[in-house]
Amino acid sequence: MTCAEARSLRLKWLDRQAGPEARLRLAQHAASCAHCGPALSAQLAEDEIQLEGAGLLVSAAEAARPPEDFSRRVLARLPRASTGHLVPPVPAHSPRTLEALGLESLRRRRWLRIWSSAAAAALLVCTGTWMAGAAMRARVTLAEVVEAGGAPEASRLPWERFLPLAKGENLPSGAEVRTGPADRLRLRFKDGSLVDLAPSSRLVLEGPRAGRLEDGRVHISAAKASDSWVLETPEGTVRTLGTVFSVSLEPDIPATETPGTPTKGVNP
Amino acid sequence: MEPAKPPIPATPEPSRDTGAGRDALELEDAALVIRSLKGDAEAFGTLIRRHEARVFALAAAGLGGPARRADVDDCAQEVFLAAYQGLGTLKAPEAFGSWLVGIAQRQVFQALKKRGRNRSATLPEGLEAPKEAGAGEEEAVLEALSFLQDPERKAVALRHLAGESPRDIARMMEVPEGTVRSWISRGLAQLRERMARGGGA
Repeated sequence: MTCAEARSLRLKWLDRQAGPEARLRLAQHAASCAHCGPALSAQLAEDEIQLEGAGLLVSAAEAARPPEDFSRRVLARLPRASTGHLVPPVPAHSPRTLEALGLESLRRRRWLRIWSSAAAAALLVCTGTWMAGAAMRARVTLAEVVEAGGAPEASRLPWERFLPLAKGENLPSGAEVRTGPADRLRLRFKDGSLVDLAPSSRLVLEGPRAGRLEDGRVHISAAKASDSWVLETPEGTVRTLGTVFSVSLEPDIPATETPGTPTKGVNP
Repeated sequence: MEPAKPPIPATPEPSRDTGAGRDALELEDAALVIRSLKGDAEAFGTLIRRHEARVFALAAAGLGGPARRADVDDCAQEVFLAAYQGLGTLKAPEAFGSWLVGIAQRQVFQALKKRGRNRSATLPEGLEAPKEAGAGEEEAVLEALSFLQDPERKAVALRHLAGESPRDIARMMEVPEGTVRSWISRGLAQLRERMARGGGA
């Protein structure tokens, strides 16, 4: 039994729509569930008090039951016309207007329900979009464009289209840069690492010392630091503490590394 | 010749468990109110039978144990007589049930005021009215219930004396169902405590 099912079963049991076996199952869930167990145990103890109180009212409910002839006695006290019909109460509206009012009120209530649900959903979407946008806008700058040859482009937000990049521009985390067949691009990360994108390449900036190569080739002069520089590719992940290396997704060009500098976990 | 009347539902047929079911019940109430406005005794009789349980529950809980059954019956009659006389002022006929609860509360208040006057006129200060012969445990429980505050008393009375569902009470009182459940829970705990102390004041 899930916690949600336990909550629902508890209400049914409280409303006497479930038998004593429901109480047993609830007690078992309370004893075994680390998530809602303590709270459910406390609620079950309160429920016992509530049911005890409700038990006191069983005989009182019998005493408060209306007698069989009640409606007849009330009708007998209402004034009647000579025809035997009741004298109608003084209407504030004509019955026709009242009928329209009644139906209109029901209709209005239904529409109110629909509109309030729609407004709540719209508000939720707007708030979510605004919060996502604010979170994206608040992203830290990871790198600066130091050279832009040709017409390289970048998409700064996942849903934004690619726009031309110019020298001196800052790129936030999550930004994606790409170069055309005749373009070149050099980025300087905040730690001083230099990243060169070859023509026809795509790179996503994922962190202060992290990127994801989607296409093409990249040459990285990673500044030395205690954290690894991590480059993900569809074929594997390259990790290095500080070195100069190239990674290519083009079939004929192998990954290279300048020897003598500390590197770990190079793959491929 | 009188025009043919649409059939009157003898008992609430549609389920109260769904919004559509409750809407259907309210629509039936609206139709009965409109026919009652034309002096249709059968329609108003049906309205009485549909709502008498909640009126008796509120009257019994409000007037407390020392009330004779006749007092509760009188109070409930006054509620329906006032409802018939004021039916023309009801702007939303489908809300007859909620409107009636308001009238019931006012009538209970009037009955308590009247009882207070009669008691002070006939009894020396500090003396309680003698209990009706054959007064049982239910009377003590109703007496204890009458000392609860609203809205706990109203919620407990409608739930456990009239047998209304928490969802219907919530709709009638225009509050969330969870609020009604907590009123009922609090009210029953207070009732149990009061009964454990011996009931009454």
